[in-house]
Amino acid sequence: MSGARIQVDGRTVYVGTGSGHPDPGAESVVFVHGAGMDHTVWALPARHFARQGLRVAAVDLPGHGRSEGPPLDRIDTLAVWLGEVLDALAIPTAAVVGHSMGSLVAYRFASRMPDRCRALALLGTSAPMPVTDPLLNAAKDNHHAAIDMANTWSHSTGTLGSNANPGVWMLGVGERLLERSAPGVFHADLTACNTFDAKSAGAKIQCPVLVVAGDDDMMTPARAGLDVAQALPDARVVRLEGCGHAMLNERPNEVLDALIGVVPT
Amino acid sequence: MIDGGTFDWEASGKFPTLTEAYEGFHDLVFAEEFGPQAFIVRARREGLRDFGACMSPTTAFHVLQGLETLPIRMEKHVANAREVVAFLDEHEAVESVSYPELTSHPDHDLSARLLPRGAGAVFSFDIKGGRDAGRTFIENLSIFSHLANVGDAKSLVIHPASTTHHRMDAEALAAAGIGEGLVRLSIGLEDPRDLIGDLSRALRRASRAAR
Repeated sequence: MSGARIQVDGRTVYVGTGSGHPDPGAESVVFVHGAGMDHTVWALPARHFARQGLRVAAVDLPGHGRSEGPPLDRIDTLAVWLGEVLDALAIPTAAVVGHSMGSLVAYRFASRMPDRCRALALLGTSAPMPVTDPLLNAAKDNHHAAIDMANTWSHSTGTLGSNANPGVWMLGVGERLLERSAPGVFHADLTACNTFDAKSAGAKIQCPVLVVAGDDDMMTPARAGLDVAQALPDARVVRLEGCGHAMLNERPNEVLDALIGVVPT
Repeated sequence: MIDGGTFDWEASGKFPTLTEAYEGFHDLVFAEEFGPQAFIVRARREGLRDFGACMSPTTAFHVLQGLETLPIRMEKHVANAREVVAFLDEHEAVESVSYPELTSHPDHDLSARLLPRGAGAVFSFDIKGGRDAGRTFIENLSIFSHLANVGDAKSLVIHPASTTHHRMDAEALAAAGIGEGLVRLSIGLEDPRDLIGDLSRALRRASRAAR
């Protein structure tokens, strides 16, 4: 099966497994998607690590994809929720990978529960992660302009018309995914990003950290990612030249290569 | 094939190979694993990649743009082809011309019924003098491009007995319905007087060489 449905706080949570069949003692890798997205953004790395025998948990955050709502609009709440999901899945420790808003959830989770995090990968990250008012307001009104803004700014101009998956419309994939969000979900996500308190957010993180930064990222500029890495004791940075914020869409293979270097197998 | 990524495969209940565990991919559920890309990923992984017909968006754009002018191009292709056929049909170095609009063609009546606006611009003729004459002929053409494909905006020619089918002897060629002097033409959009001039020169050289 592609995923599993579990109950957390009386609500259904969907967890993508990358269609793996891991052995009982297998190491785990957890994926946390960004604002308005769902587990499908991780299709390539989830399936890769599942094939390597890892236990994959690509969560749909509350109100996203196949998980029941309501959405949670604070990073701290999401980090606590992630811990509960791992409890429910009986995953004691894991490598945690997050993209964009998901990188903050992973970051906060690793800081709150450092002993549960074996490695951390932060893709397209920034701490803090302020969101511009026009985007927040459009999302609040559930206006399509929010999707257009976020999606356009998430892609570098250099990738227009090309896709590592030939024939797949680069911008269309992001747009369709955002359009699937229920009303209010995208705004809750952006609020979570915007209210994230970066002060001492990374304290206690001792595990190896990978930061992947796109040089053409307009949402979380590469500079911000480098700052996050600099504040951590054991962080490595992979920069993707000419890549925008939607790096899983623009450079799936290079992101996977970087993850292979940090996810323990 | 274009998929907008908006169709709800699960709600429709009609597409179990996208919404239920699929044995061909180790119980993968496409709609769950790939979300909006469920259909296109399956189509590409299991259909297009296996058969090779993978079109890029840029190619699709070129095809769509080409279709816009196809009707007027076809008129010109057919008009040019008719002039070239008439020229070859009368030429002393030509054994026969196989074009459905000629009354000598076995499918002439059928063609008149099915293709009333013209029988296209791809046809073949037999040159007198067999394999050597055919080779000399194509080697002496200058406007016609020597290519194995058809339907281009420029005129194309091929002589199977000296190129694509050169390994076959006369008997094997005959069994395949290919004469040793058979030449296939694909008539393009050039000025037909230039095409006929080119054919005329090459036919002259070929018949001189065959003597």
